[in-house]
Amino acid sequence: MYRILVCDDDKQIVDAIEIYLTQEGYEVSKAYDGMEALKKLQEETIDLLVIDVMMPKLDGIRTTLKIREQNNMPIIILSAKSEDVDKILGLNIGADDYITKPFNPLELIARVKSQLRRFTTLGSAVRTEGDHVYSTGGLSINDDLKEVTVDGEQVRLTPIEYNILLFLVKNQGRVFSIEQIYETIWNEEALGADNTVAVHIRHIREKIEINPKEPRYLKVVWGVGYKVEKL
Amino acid sequence: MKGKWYKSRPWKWTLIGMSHIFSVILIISLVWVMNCPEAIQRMLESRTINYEETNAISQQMLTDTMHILGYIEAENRFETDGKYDGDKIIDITELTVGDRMTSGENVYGIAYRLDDLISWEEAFREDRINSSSSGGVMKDPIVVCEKKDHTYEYYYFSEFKKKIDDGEFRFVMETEDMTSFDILNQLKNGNWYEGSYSGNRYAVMEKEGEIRYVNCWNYDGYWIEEMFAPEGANSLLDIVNEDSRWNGRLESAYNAVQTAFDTLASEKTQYENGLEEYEEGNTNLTYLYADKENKKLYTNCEEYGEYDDLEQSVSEMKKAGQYILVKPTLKGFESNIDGAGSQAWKSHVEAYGTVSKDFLYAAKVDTTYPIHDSYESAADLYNAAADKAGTFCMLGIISLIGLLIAIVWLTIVAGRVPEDKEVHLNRFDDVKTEIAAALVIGLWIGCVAILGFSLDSISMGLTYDTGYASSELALNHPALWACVCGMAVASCGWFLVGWLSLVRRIKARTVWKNSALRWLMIRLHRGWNWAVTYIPSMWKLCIALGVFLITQWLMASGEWVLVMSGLAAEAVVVLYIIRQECGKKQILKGVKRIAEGEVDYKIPVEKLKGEEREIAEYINKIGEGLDAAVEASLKNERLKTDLITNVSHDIKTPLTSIINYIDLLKRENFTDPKVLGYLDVLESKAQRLKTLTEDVVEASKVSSGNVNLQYMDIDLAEMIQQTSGEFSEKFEKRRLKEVLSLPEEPAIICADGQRMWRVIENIYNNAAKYAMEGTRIYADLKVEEKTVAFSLKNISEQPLNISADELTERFIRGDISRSTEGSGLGLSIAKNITELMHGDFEIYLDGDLFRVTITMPRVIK
Repeated sequence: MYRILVCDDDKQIVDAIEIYLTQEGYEVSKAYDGMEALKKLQEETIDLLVIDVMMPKLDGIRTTLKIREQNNMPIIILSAKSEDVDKILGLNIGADDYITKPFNPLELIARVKSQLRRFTTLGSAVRTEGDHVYSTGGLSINDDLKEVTVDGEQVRLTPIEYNILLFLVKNQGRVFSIEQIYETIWNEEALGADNTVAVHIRHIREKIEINPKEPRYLKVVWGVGYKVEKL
Repeated sequence: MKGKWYKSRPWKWTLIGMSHIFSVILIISLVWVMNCPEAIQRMLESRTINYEETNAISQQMLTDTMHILGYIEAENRFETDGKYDGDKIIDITELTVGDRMTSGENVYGIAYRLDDLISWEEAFREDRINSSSSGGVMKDPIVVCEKKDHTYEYYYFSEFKKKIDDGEFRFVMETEDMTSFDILNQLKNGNWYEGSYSGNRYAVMEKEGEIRYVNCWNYDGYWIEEMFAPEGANSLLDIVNEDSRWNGRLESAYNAVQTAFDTLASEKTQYENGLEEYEEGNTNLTYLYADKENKKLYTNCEEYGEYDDLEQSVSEMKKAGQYILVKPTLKGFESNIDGAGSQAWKSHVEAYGTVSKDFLYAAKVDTTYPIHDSYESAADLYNAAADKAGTFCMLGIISLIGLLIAIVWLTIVAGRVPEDKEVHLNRFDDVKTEIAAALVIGLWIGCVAILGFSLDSISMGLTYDTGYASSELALNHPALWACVCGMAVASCGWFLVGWLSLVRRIKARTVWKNSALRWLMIRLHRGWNWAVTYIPSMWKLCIALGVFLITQWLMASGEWVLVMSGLAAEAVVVLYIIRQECGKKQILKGVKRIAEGEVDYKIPVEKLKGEEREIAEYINKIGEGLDAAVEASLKNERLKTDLITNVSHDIKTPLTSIINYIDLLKRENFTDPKVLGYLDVLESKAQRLKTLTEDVVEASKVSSGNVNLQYMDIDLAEMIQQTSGEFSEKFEKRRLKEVLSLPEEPAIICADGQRMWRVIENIYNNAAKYAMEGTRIYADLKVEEKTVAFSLKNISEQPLNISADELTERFIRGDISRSTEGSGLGLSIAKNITELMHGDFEIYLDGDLFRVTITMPRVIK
């Protein structure tokens, strides 16, 4: 079983997270500041770290930097700082994910699972590279099997949803407007005001994203269109 | 409004009109009553007083008597035995002294034949002969010679010269430079006057050597050229020389002649006019004048013609009608007319009658008026006027009272209107007090003067034409009435204009405030202040200007050095102006940059001098102050936002535990619905607290402008479609149907996409939360020429008992009840973001209709 280190200066939060993770079958180690976390990492074999930013002695950012010097284990930052700059900083210094407080326990668990899967199963695992397999990050589409997987988990999409996602993944990094998507998928001219494409995209997001409001793969470029991030 | 009618405009005009009418009636009554003073007596005694009882008939009789007696006297003067006698001797003294009767003889020294006197008078009157009054020169100057005993003898020059030539007289000479010839020459020209040479040096002597006259000179008093010789002498000079009564009084003699001329002329006119008017049958007047001295009787009644029946005739006359009997004593005066003045009658009869001592005069008017003469018409006029006079008197009193009431009333309501309690001034009241007063008084005097003048000229003309007295005419002639009424209207009008304006000014307290005197004083005061403030600081400039002007004037002399110095002065001035202009431009540039927001800009002061430099330095100081203020305010805003952010972090940590433990509690298998209910409340409140903390941070950042905006061109139509897709499920949940209306063309705006989405999301969220279930939501995007406008309309479920401003200002205003869901900051944040991106965010509420309109500047490609 995986062992997860939870590090936060608030004991109650650490306890609550322990309960959630234990319920999911993970083993949990606890630390209450950065120094302690580093010590625990030395002593035990830890598969994933959930760490707070604002902590006494050694804060989350510095701890992460220290860990990254020798370890490439998944690190999820859990912070009350919700500004974009904070998230960007956290991800840039080596964190794999960033969750803001107060968090949804289910989301935390999903992200933990996702990180572990990617790190253990996919991260270094051999990808079945075929002509008709397209992927970005943990998202992979096998066009031969008409199969979509996120972090190894299969996702069920309707044919239109599948076609839209395939089109975007094939052209990942590029932004397409609603009109372009419509004309490509439906193969007919777009007519006026319609939110069909937007609704489909939202449905796709709900299926492939852990938090559809903060999508990881299928992103909304407001006022321009949609794109699939190249990861 | 009701009950204030007495202040209303129509009523005021009515009062003004009424006061004019009253004043006209008043003046008509006044004139009428003044013409019939008896009318008042008549009213007081409440009985009819006839014309025959008034003084007026006595006055009329007296006037007639004067005519009659004047004629009798003239007749006496010009006639002998009832016929005109041109050879009659007239003593001029009798003509000059009123009460001397005509004797037909030379009594007082100077007398002429009547015809001579008449022709002489005519020649004098028509300026056919020379005299002092016609400004002529004596052809034969008169020489005055003074005797030793200071009596005088007069000679015509021709006479005097003849005596010198004959050797009868000779001059006594003491010097050679003034010969007798010279003296005679001077005398001949009439230039030799008493006092020209002093003493008796030019005494005139007789042949025998005895001194006859001690001095001589030209006569320089009043004179009339002699046309006829007086009775019993060759010339007037002879009489003056010989008659002891006239000796040395040549000027008096000439004056007497001139006075006699006047009397003669008037008597002659009277004589020629005759007495036809007063003959029996032409008048109701009967007169009888008895000259007891000469036993002569004058009358127009044949019946009383006998002098011997005088007493009987008189008693006969007293029997009927109105009569008057005058005797030389007041005691003998008798009359049945009230108010006939005995003294006046006596003195008039004495003066005009032929004798002053022993006379008797009786006059009588037949009051049955058998003859239609002036007495009858005067009585008719009087009766007609007197009848109405009572009415007019009453009318006058009533209109006087009416006029006073109207004026008092107008005074009370002047400046007031029914609508409010303010004092209202009209345009005339804004005219300076003194000017207004002068204007009103001047125009009033002008009007009255013009009307008075025309009244005068009309009545003069009428008097001349008809011979009636003007007061009698006034009652009859419409033109005169018109003038009088005009005067009344003008006086009343101008009085009201002036008085009411004064009243309004007093009420509004502007009499002094709006006076020309005050205006002048203020102007002087300001001028003085200005001079005191600015002249000391400008003396340098004044001196420089003075020097410059002097050099310019001196240039006109053409002197080489001066012209050069003048040109040099001009050059200096040009340089000075250029330098000043440059400085001004520099300062202007600096001020403009500072005004445009570049508060740290500094005007370079190195090249500026004098006042410009001072100004620039002060402006720099102002800029520094502004800069510091802006800095401080920005820092303040940042601190505030930082504080809110930090506080929100500190709140979030315990909030995380709360939410997590609630969730954990829910995972315990509670079955008690009460507990489950409590947990739900806790969960929703915890969620709300979470939203609130996040929104407060955002709202604070956005409202302080403390956000980084990543501008890019985005298509608002695309964004609306995307948003619509995001919200489709939320809307469906509440059975809301979205009606989208997007334009054909792309709606490109320049904005931060993420922030713009936040705006649109907030207003969609608002609609999703508050729209009534099952209604439609209208989303309209319109592309205008310069703007892109998006509006979202929905029907609110709850009554909107709140104003649009309150919806977006909850963050600032703490008194509005908060919604149960969300932070209530959504619209406020949306509005602030929109405005940060130079857009316009408008909320419109109409009943249950809720509409948000976002207008953004359009980007045209």
